[in-house]
Amino acid sequence: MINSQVKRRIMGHLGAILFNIGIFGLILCFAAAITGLLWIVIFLFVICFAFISVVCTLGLALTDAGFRNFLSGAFKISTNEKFLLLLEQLVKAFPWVAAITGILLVASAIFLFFDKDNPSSKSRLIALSVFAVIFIIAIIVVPIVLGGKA
Amino acid sequence: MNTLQLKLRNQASFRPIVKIDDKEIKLKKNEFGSLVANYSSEKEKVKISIYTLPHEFDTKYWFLIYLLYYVISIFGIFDVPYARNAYQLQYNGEIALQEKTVIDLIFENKKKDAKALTCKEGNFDDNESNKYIYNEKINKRRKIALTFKFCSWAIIAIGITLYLIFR
Repeated sequence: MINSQVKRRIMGHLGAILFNIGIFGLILCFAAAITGLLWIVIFLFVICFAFISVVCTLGLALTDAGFRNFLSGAFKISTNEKFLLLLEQLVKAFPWVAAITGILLVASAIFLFFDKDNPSSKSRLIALSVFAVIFIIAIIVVPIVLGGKA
Repeated sequence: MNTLQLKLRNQASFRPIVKIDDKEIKLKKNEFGSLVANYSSEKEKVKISIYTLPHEFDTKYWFLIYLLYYVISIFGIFDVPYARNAYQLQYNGEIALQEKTVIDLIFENKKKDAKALTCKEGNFDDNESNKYIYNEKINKRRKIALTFKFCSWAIIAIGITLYLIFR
């Protein structure tokens, strides 16, 4: 049979695997959140870029047709059909991804706890507690942002 | 009451476990990165064992364990690297306790059948068990596991390519 010392190592390894999958889930959650905010970011970026370009060239940039096309194209991104579809899919998947990620991270913390003497498991546990805070913030903030937009 | 302060230095690549009278002792890291354990007992002599945590591949069911990791980590994509350390230590000895006993041990460089622990301070029972044991099985099994993973990836890649071509 497997002795308790090896069991401890196996627990740590399983915890590390679940931790890695949980991080991937967390990235997906943030992708959903960022996509929801992306149109604001793009809008602000284009305005800043246009403002700086116009000021630096003393208004000459506006006389260039290419620059005007670029500006109008950039503003169209936020109403692009594919972009809106991606946004919709991510928003739809968000509750599932968030729930699965939450379960995986909790399971990972439980497994890692059995192997807490291992320095790498310990650092993963510390990272998990930081992620837990970020995750809770994401769960609170994302529905507010997306709900507000709807 | 007799007390023992055990210090383990240069243990970074190991995960030593210390047992005194068959009871696991908690090790704490000090400001220099060494592990320190404190123990107190009424006894004048105690049994001590210092050993490294066994590798997951050092069991009868190592391939089943590996398959479990492989499935959970989605074809090994989210897996973590396996420990490369194939050296193990299984030291067993006795320590004579005094009112204040201090033992300072250093882990030597890994070498097959070489002495594992050197005493810098205190009375240390330097016996035959104080040596590194090289476990060749671990390296062999690690290589088998890696080969399995890459072969399975190759098969999956070929399968996907064939599906895309002939669908």
